[in-house]
Amino acid sequence: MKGEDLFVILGKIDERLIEEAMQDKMYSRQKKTISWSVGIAACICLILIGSFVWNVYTDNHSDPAKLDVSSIIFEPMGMGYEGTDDLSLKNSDDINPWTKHAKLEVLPVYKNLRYNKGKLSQSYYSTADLKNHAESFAEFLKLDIISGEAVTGEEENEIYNYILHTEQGQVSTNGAGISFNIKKGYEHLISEHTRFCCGSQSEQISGVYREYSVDGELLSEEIRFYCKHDALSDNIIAFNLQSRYEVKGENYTNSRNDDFISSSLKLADYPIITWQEAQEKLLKGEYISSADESQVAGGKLSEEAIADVDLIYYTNSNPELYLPYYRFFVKYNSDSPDNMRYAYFYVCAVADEYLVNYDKYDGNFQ
Amino acid sequence: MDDIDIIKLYFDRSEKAINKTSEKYGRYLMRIAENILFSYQDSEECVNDTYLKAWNSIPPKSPKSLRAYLGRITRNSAINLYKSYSAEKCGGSVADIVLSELEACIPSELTVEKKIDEKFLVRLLEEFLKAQKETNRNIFLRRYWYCESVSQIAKDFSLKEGTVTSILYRMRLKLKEKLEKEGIAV
Repeated sequence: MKGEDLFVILGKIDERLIEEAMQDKMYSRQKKTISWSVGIAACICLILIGSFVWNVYTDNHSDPAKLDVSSIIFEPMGMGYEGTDDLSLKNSDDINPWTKHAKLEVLPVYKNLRYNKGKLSQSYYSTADLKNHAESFAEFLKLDIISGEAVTGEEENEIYNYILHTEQGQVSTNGAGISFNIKKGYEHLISEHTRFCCGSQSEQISGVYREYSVDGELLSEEIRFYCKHDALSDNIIAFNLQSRYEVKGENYTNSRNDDFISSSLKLADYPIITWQEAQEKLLKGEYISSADESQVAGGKLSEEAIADVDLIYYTNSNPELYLPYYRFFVKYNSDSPDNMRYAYFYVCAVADEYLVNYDKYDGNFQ
Repeated sequence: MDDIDIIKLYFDRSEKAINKTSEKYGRYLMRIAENILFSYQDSEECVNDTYLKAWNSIPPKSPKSLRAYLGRITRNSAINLYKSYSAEKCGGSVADIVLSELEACIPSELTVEKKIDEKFLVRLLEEFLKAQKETNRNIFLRRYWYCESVSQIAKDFSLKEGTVTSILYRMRLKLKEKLEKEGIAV
């Protein structure tokens, strides 16, 4: 037996003793104050109140730890880089609550509990938890359940989804939201799905998103919703990490709510830079993008090439962290002069001093 | 928020359970882990691991003392991480010193590889601790359970560092005597 073994065994003693050892600390401090004179005690009271406030502050506002962002991958889209075009922008609503006038000093960063080192994102929850969640949803919407099944992998605890077959459609959950394929005739249940997400009192913000091909053909159309809150930062989180989407199909309507928050852990609120500071970084080449800078209109990044900017949380490719980024819409060379294309260039909104391994791409995506 | 309300959130499978746990006990758990690991990043990993383990174990478990329950999980995770790093570690944490101090409590016949009845040893330690003066017992636990530095303990108990060192030394001798007397090797 070694000291290490005794140390481990000591860890198993009665919890009450462990608890008392910490309580004694508070007791010993109280004892000190009792013997002081009333006059001094009054002053000390003020100090104690001050120190109490300080303790509360430090307990809840510990310094944010550094964030290792090396594992976050920015995937190119079908056209070889991530971006959009004029047609899509003009025919879509912009419901992002962030605007250039937003005054924000901090934003939260979350650790994604479904992160799986580049592999398929498994559920963070057990099959039983997913089943419970799907059944709670079915109960809330008064659906008639036919059967249920878990989508699992070959390995133990490899759980992806739980699917519930109901008379009204198919419910599927991975623990980070619910997808409901609603059969024709049951579309009234969409409002119940909203109520499930937002509660009956909460107001919703909604907008239509349309995406077009290079030839101008409408590829997809979906309605995006988020529950409205009072604070801007809450709306930013709701928009980015808790949106609901509706897509109409031939025989069904898909109503899906993403809820990245339910499978993540808030790390802390982090100081963020302004969009102007982010733009300076962008122009200095300190950006992340799957686009090629040499293809930017005019041949290089410049203020004139920047068409717009917004702030988003990057959630593609199941990242390890949910971080806020400034996303710049940069004019990009295109074969279709009638439909200007824009490539996305990202600059992390979290202040540099909190980022570790923040590699900026050189314009070539590997 | 009271512990009972936080535990209820776990039973309701509400994600707020982890947020509330973190708000109330995050700093306390970080302190336990940091005392052992001497690394902010590793400690943070341990504390996050604690939240996951609490989430997975409550329910069915319903701890009487949430603080002690979480503290124990963090301590165990930190010890495991400490062990995995022990080959390449350079030392420096309070845990390095604490372990060498505890080593001195072990009777020489037990330092060789022998099967120890763990439950019996736990009971023996509890008996030993309960027989001590309350302050001495708590100083011992602050040092050997929470891995706190002598200066921190001295500050919290309004004692001189020399007094704390002396109390700990005498208690280690007493523990060694107790272990020798009981002949715990089986």
